[in-house]
This record gives sequence, C-alpha cells and structure tokens, in this order.
Amino acid sequence: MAASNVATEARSVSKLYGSGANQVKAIDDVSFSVEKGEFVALVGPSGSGKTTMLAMLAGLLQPSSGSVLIDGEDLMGMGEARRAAFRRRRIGFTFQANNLVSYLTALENVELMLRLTGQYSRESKTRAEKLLEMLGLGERMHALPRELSGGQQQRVAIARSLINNPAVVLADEPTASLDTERAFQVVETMAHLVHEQGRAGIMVTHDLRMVEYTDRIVHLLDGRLEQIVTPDDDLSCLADPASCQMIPDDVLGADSAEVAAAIS
Amino acid sequence: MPTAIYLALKETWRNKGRFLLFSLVIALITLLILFIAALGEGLGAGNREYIEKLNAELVVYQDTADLSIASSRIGCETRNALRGINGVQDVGAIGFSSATIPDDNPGQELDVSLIGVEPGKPGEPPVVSGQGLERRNANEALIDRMVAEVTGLRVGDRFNVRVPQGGEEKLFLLKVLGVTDSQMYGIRPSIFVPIVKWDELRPQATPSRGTEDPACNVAAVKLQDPEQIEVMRQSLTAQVRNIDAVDLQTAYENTPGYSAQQQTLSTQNGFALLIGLLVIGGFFQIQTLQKVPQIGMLKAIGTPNSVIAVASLIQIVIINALGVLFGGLVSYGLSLIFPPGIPLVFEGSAIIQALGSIMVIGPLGGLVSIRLSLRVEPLIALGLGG
Repeated sequence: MAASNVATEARSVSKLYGSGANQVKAIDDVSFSVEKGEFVALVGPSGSGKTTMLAMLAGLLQPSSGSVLIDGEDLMGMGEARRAAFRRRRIGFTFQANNLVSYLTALENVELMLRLTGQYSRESKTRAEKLLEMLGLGERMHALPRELSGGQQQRVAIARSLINNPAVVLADEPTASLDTERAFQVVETMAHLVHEQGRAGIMVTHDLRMVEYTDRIVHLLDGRLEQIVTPDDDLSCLADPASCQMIPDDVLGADSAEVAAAIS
Repeated sequence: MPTAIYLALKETWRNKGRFLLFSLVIALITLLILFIAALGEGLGAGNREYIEKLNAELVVYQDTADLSIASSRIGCETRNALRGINGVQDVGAIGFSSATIPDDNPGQELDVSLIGVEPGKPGEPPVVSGQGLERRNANEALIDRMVAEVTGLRVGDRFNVRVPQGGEEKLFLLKVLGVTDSQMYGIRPSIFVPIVKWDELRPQATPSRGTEDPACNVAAVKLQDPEQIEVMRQSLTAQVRNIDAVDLQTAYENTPGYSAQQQTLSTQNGFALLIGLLVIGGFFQIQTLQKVPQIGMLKAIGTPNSVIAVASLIQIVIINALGVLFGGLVSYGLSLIFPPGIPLVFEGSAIIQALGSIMVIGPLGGLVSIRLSLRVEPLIALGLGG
C-alpha cells in the first residue's frame, strides 16, 4: 500500500484517565490506519473505548501517548485554534444526537460549514443543494431540524460532513436513534459517498448489522485493539468477545495493513 | 465576523417569540428605570427649577442659617451693603412661603409656592406673556406656566390665594399680570408677588400690612462679570458681615430634602439596574445552559470560540436594544398622557444616561453566559467530558 493513500492513522495511541491507584487505561496502545475511499467500522462493547478513540482521531482529546495523523499531519502537534481550523477544513462529523443547529434549516446547516471555512458562494450553495438532493432531501432542504425525522436529520449531518471535501469523515453511532430501515439507509448512503468521493470514513457503532457496508472492522475490547476484520470474515467473535482470537503482541503497533493481513 | 452575525440573526429570527418575550421583560426594566430617572428629574426640577433659572449668579444667606432658606433672614441693610460692592450689578430680595389657590377660581385647588420678589430686580422671572411686576405693593402677581395650565388662569384674571394667618385661613385677591415659564420650587408651581405684598401675604402668626423694606429669606446677586463667581463669592462674604454666599447649584442642592431625595432616587435607580443586570444575565445563562450540547457540536465541527462569543454578544445586544426601544417608546407614550401635576420630566440627558446604562447592563449581564459558552467542551458532542 502506498503511504500517500493513508488518510488517517493512529500510532500506538493510549489514553489514561485519573492517576495513581485510580488510573484507568481507556485506550491501550492502539494502532491502525484508514485509507482514502475506505469505510471502517469501530466496534466493541460498551466501555471498550470506541468513542474515546474517535475523539482522539478527531483531535478533540489529547492521547496520553502515541499520535494521530490526518493527511500526514500530527493533530496533537497543533495548537487548539489551529486544531479547530483543521477540524472544520479536513474532518467531517456526524454525531449520535444534537447533530444540527436547531435554528438553521437543513440547507443552512450544510452551508454553515462553507461559511465557517470562508467558502460560501453561489456555486458552493448549489453544491450543498445537490448534495442534499442526492441524499433524498431535495424537498426538505428548507425544513428546520425539528421538522425532519431522525433519519433525515442524520442525512443532513452526513451532507454537512462531506460538503467541505474533508480528508476524513467521522461518525459516532449515527444509527443509534434510528429504526432499522432508516439505519441501513443512512449507513449505506454514508458508505456510498465515502467510496464515491474517496474520503476516509470511520464509523463508531455498536450495531453489528451496520458493518456490512464497511470495508474493515476495527474491534476494540477493554481499550485494546482486539482484531481488524472485514465484513466477509466470521464476525461471531464481535458478538461474543470471549470467542475472539487475540492479536499477537508483535502485530499490534504495526501498520494497519500489516495488522489486517496478519489477522486475515 | 459575518458567520457570527449570521448565526446571531438566524437564531434571533427563528426564535423570535421567545426573544420578543424577553425583549418585553427588558422593556419593562427600561420603563422602570426611565420612570425612576424621570421622577428624579421631575422631583429635582420641582425643587430646584426656580433657583436654577435665577437671573443671578450668587445667592446670599444669613450665615447662621446653614444655607437653609426658611431659616435665613436678609434685611434691607444687608442688601444695600451687597449693592455697594464693586463687581455687583444688582441685588434682589427673595422671600419664600406657600399658599393655596382655592377651587373657586376657574380650575382646581392648587398648592403653590408664594415667592416675593423685587420688581425688576434679580429674582423676578421673565414673563412669556403679559408683563412683569412694576409696583412694589400692588395686588398683582405673576403665575408660572403650570399654575396657568392647572387653574386655567390667564393674564388679566383675578384669583384668590388662601394663606393661614393668625389661626385662620385668609383669602387675598390678586390680579394675573403675566405668565412665566415653569418655575417650580418645593415641588410646587409658583406665583410671584412684589416682596412688600409678599410680606403681607405670607403665613404669619399675626396678620400685618407688611413693611416698606421687609426682611427676605435670601438675596439674589447678579454680577457684572458672571465668570467671576468664586472671586465675587469670597469678596461678598469678606465685605458683608453675617452672610454666606453660594452659587446656584449649591443653593438648590441645599433646598429642603433635595439631596436626600436625589440620593434615594439614585439608589432606586442603581437597584433597578442591578435587578436588570441579574434578570438579563439569568435569562442568557439559562439559554446558554439549554444550548450546551449544540455549542459542543459547533465546537466539535471546528467553529472558533470567537464566532460563538461574538454571535452571543450580538444576540444580547439585539435583544437588549429591542427591549430598550420598546421601553423607550412606551415611556414616551405614557409621558404624553400624564397630567401636568405629576413630577415626571423626561429630560434629554437624564434619559440618554438611563438608556445608555441599560444598553451597558445587557452585554454586561450576558458576559457570564458568554464565558459559559466559551467553556463548553467540544467533547460534549460525543457524550464525553462536560
């Protein structure tokens, strides 16, 4: 794999909370990378460190050790203001809830990213409208979030996360509040756009049915990287971690492709 | 900061019902503060207006009176001595008392300040219609605009004044010679009579015909050079025995109850502003608390703190300005329908000062909520931190 194709990379990332006897290791020496055009699921049971890992990948949380790189740039080497600027230009977000600005319409929510990055123009507005139409929201783009269903709100959030052509799109439990049909619809849309636009997509989910649209599955357990598999692999151990085969220590910390190769 | 302005305007417009309601709360605070300011100005003017408008630069008291007009007596000899001092242009005697215009006159009964002045001398206010006082001992009077409005008296009309003398109420018939502009004193409108007539009319234990050169309460001193107030003040007190000379401001600040009244109203005004500060601060604080998840999300997607802070500030200023505008308009409307006897004066500088202070307390009250929004962690968007 060409190094230039890697969009984001976690290198031996650890996160400790507390100190002394009360110290808890939320993330323990996790390494993996995601290529452009690749959609990866970050899975694991509750408390496994998925969201903490996502927060570090987004530059919202400082790792205790290790580093996170997006497009080759170390997020933690930046000051807070530069990191915020980097987030609005290079990272797209979809959250579990409170995704949208309540007083902006669907279109205005998408346009907000353009305004924040100084890219708002007639052409970019047209691009936002087209993106919403592509996501099936052509008729609802002037509706406020409270007038949209949960699935529609998530699709608006997806549009917002992609409008700036980010290097990485991060989604935290985007299907948590949706019914099954809409959940599949949202993830399928996200996967399609990530593949089509050549972004790197990382989705935290506890719903294993959603991983079928992803290219790889990064499985965390108790803060450690348990395994990296593909949807075609036997996924039974994701549902039952006790049955999982542990990744050898010498593989952890290596390049994600090597890890994936070692597992598969 | 176009994005901050955009966010502030969108949020205000899309939540206009809520913000309008709060603007109305600010309007009520504005109304309260403006009315306290107008009351302060009205009561202050009611106490000081005549002295403030005196066509003189200095007011001379008896030195033992401790600047109390009622306790001060300035005799003819002292006035003559004052007239003889180099730099003094003219001196006029002024006597203060009160009387009632009974309701047998065209309008309603009215308590007035009965002020004795020397015709043509400092102390006699200029007339806006009719003519000034001429004769030293005539049953003639000038009435101020307020008396004319309330009683309906006009130049040439005759009216009674009722004064307690020797244990009974006595009526004196006076003719309106002229009307002056508003000349309130002692929170009452004023009528002016010649000082000799005043000496006869004023409340007294034993009715008298008055004397040719009665003692008055104070003397108004007009200077040849109005710029030399302090020099002449010292010169008068040095050259004339048993007097105190003060400028007009000191004189009206020492009218009965003036300072205490103004301090009370200033304190009320301060408390009203403090309450306004807390109410505005509280509202925006609650609003920010409700928006914490949204602010966290905005920060997570990379919205700079400056955009969030400026958007909040703009919103506070807009809502505050709307409230002040509503409150100002309602106050103005009410001021038009208040009857003239109520001591409310919406005077330009006092109103601007009151409005300015409300415009300042809005953003000041909102500072706490802005600080709170700046402290919101973007991790909240992911359900972490907080």
